[in-house]
Amino acid sequence: MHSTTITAFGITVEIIYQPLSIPNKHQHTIVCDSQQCYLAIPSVARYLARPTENRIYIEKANADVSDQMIAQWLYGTVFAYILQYHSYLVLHGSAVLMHEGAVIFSGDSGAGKSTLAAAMNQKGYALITDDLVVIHYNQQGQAMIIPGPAKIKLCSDAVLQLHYDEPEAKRIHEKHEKYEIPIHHHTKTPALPVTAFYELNPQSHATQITMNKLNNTEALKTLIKNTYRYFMIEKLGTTGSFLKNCVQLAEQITMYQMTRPAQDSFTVPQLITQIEHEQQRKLNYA
Amino acid sequence: MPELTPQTLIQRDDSQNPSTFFDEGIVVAQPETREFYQFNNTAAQLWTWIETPKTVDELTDLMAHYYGGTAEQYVQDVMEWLQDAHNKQLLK
Repeated sequence: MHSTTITAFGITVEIIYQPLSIPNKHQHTIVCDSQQCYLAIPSVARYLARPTENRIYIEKANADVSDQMIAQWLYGTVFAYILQYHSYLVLHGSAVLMHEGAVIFSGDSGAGKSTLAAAMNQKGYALITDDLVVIHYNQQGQAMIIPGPAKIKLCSDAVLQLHYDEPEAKRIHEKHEKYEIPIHHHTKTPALPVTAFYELNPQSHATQITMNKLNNTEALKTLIKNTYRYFMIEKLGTTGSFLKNCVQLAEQITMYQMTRPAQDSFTVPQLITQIEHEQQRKLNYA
Repeated sequence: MPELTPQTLIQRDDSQNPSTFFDEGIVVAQPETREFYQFNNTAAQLWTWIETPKTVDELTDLMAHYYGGTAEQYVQDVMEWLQDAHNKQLLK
């Protein structure tokens, strides 16, 4: 057994590597209640998060499992559970810094959130987070995003399109062609105001990129839909605070849905142009 | 909930269905069905009143007092809304 302390998303927890007493059924499993979350990833590790103890217990599948592999789920599902336990709003997406505010990209798996964030990062916008978007409210009630680890996950197509090279891009999945890229231009600010939210919506019938501003009702539904592992909130019994968090964000920021052709060529440059134009327009208007 | 009559006691269930003000109305969560229901201003008013137990008669009286007219003219709308809320498992 050995232990270490890590800080991520503004929360410090003790990590204890030790065998877990829970029977191992060698299946991909997640079981949560209001006090703990057990996650089993075959060939990687079993995790037990106990926010009441401020601890995460990890049992590696074998000694060869790398820290990078452990981190995939540690900074994803496991930390999301701990953050939701503490009533943070956790969304699935990425975020970059534009004009001193956080611009969030969300959407279904494969919608292009990380690709867009990576491309904007290459254009000079600091990355705030990838995968988990963690939001809390300051004393003035303003929605603030908490930066995540300085890395981004991309599929092989995006790695090629954005010209990342090996060894910079490290393959993290044997089955899926997913790569992890370390990000050097990453914000160090502990919390940043959230200013905009874009839901990426690839559609096979779309012939061009369109951007629709969402009304409050659409915005609320979009936030709920893009919540990270919503079932964990149900198990935690924190639906009330979750709902208040979503409502507050929907009423506070401008939210858009960006529809783009699903099968078309690489549309990221056009998406960036439209986002830059809209954010500049808002800035001029303010 | 038994069949609705003017004397049926109605109350929302805050422990099961958290709600919050939103966009000039109220949004209510139904975690069991993973649904979120948005109520307009009038429905939100009814939702506020049934925080404590009320009969249908009391609710229609409140409607008449609050919005004007007679209690009778609100009976059908209130009954329909309550039945709908019951179907969505939002009432005790």
